[in-house]
Amino acid sequence: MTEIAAIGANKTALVVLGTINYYYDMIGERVAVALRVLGYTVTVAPLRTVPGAHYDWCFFVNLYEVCVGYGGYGAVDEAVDRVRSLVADSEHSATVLLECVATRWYAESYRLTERCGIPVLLDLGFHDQAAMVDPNMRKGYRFAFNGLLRTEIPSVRALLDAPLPRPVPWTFVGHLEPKRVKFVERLMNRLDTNGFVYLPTLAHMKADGPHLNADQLRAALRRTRYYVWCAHHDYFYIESERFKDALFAGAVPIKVLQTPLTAEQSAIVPFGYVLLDDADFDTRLAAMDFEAIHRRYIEDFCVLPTLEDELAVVIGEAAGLPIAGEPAHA
Amino acid sequence: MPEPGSPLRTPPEGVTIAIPNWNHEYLLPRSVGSALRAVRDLRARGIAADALVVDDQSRDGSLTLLRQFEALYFEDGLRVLALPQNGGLPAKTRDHALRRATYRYIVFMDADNELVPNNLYHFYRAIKDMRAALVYGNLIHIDAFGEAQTLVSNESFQTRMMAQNYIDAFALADRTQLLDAGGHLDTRDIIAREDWEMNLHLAAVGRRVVFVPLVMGFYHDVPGSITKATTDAAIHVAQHRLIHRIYNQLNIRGKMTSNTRHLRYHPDIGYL
Repeated sequence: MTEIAAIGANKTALVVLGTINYYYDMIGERVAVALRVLGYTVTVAPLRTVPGAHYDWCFFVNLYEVCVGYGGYGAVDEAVDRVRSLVADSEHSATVLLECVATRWYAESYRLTERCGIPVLLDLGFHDQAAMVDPNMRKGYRFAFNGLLRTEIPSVRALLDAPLPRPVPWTFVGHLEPKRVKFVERLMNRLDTNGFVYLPTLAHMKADGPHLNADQLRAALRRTRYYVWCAHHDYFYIESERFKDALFAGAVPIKVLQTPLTAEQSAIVPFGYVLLDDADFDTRLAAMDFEAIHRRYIEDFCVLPTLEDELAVVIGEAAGLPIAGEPAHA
Repeated sequence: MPEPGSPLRTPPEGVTIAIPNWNHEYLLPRSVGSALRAVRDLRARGIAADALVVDDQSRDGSLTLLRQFEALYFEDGLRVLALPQNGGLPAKTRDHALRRATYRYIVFMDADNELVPNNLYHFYRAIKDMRAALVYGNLIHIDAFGEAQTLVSNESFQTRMMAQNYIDAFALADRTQLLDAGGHLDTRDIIAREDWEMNLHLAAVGRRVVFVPLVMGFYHDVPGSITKATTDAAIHVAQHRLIHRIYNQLNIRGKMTSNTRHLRYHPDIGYL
């Protein structure tokens, strides 16, 4: 564990959120909690209402949505000016992103990060994607493990002592796509017909939109055995937040992969036993022992680096920025 | 709407699965089979249930087949009602089922639908828990090659229902509430979109139309269905105008949202 007491004492940090995507807002709140543990006085605000001040650190959580959420697509230039001003007034700054680096969302964030003069693009996730980043968009890329907060570990372990009844055999949530409908049909055929299925038509994520918000999803997962999903793209990526959603609710996450894991990928991702291939995920899932795999999942997660540990390393390195693509921890 | 003397005010608890049919002889074994499996499942759980096929004067071999089914499966809860003359409107056939069903709750499915038998119990629990007029869940759309392609009835009731229907007729309804609300609008002006009109009507009069995040069944794509036959642009526009005139004349629904907006409920989880 990194020694943090001396790093952040009496320092200030700003976490800037978008106003479009509440999912990223929650990630911003977690970053804020971790920073407070590290000794920072943290302000969390959307770009439009950020208090003007000198900050030791400024984190922009999903910069693309921060800028678009400022005043729509027509006001992005104005938003960029505001971000640049904050960056200039801060000792250090970073963009925080949780995306597959092969998608356009990463490219858009990278371009904005560069345009705003932000030196670090912090990829919070489960595996270092440096090797997958387009060489032209690698400058400042920095991976950090998206771990638990320290305060979360005891409550996660306690889930093993008081198991809840789980009448819902599986839950499948995402936006509507033909591929996902086929997965649902396979889960019904191989596992159980009584799965929780919520696949609304693609729309912006908002608290009052058709999507399940975090509390609603967690309510469903608290009654669920297996939380199953697949990505809407074919690139290799492990959605760390989905794993945490399952963890906190006492469910087992199941990520369906389009292609089998390579040896290199297996070496860098945790929880390989719940990463199942498209070809036979339904058969393998039907053969799983829920209690055994649930216990293993919780025990494995609780010994991985915490979010505070990871941010402490990033902050500690800030005086001399990390080499692009170099992992945050050995 | 209720026939004189009809005991609709005190219908017994339970579920009638109603299948209106018009010249769908070759689809009946699948839809009726799934309905009978659902009846068996509900009965095993102590819930009274039956299946009612209402034949709208089919000219193919439907009625002969149905009478054979009825002879074979009467004890399993299958009844067949042959209408004396063709009503020509799905709404009329559904309202016949509404009046002649045995039990308080009624599943409306078409001959090209297939129920997921074990899931109906959970929809039954949901409609009772919610005291809803209607509950519905995901329908998997199976194309002509037998491949699952998309979902319908996959979201809660939202204001955008004013502009576009995404909730299929295949649903579980409370007969008493539907009859109190006047049943379906049986006019040719709205043919093949009676379900849309019915759902808007229920929402407009304050009833609950609730999405349950389970798969209710399948829609098997068949060439020549009534819905496909009424995709003519002029008819489509006229129907949208009529719906707009009835339910959203002043474009106020975006601000005056209905009671049922975003109602989602799962009987093992609660409100979502």
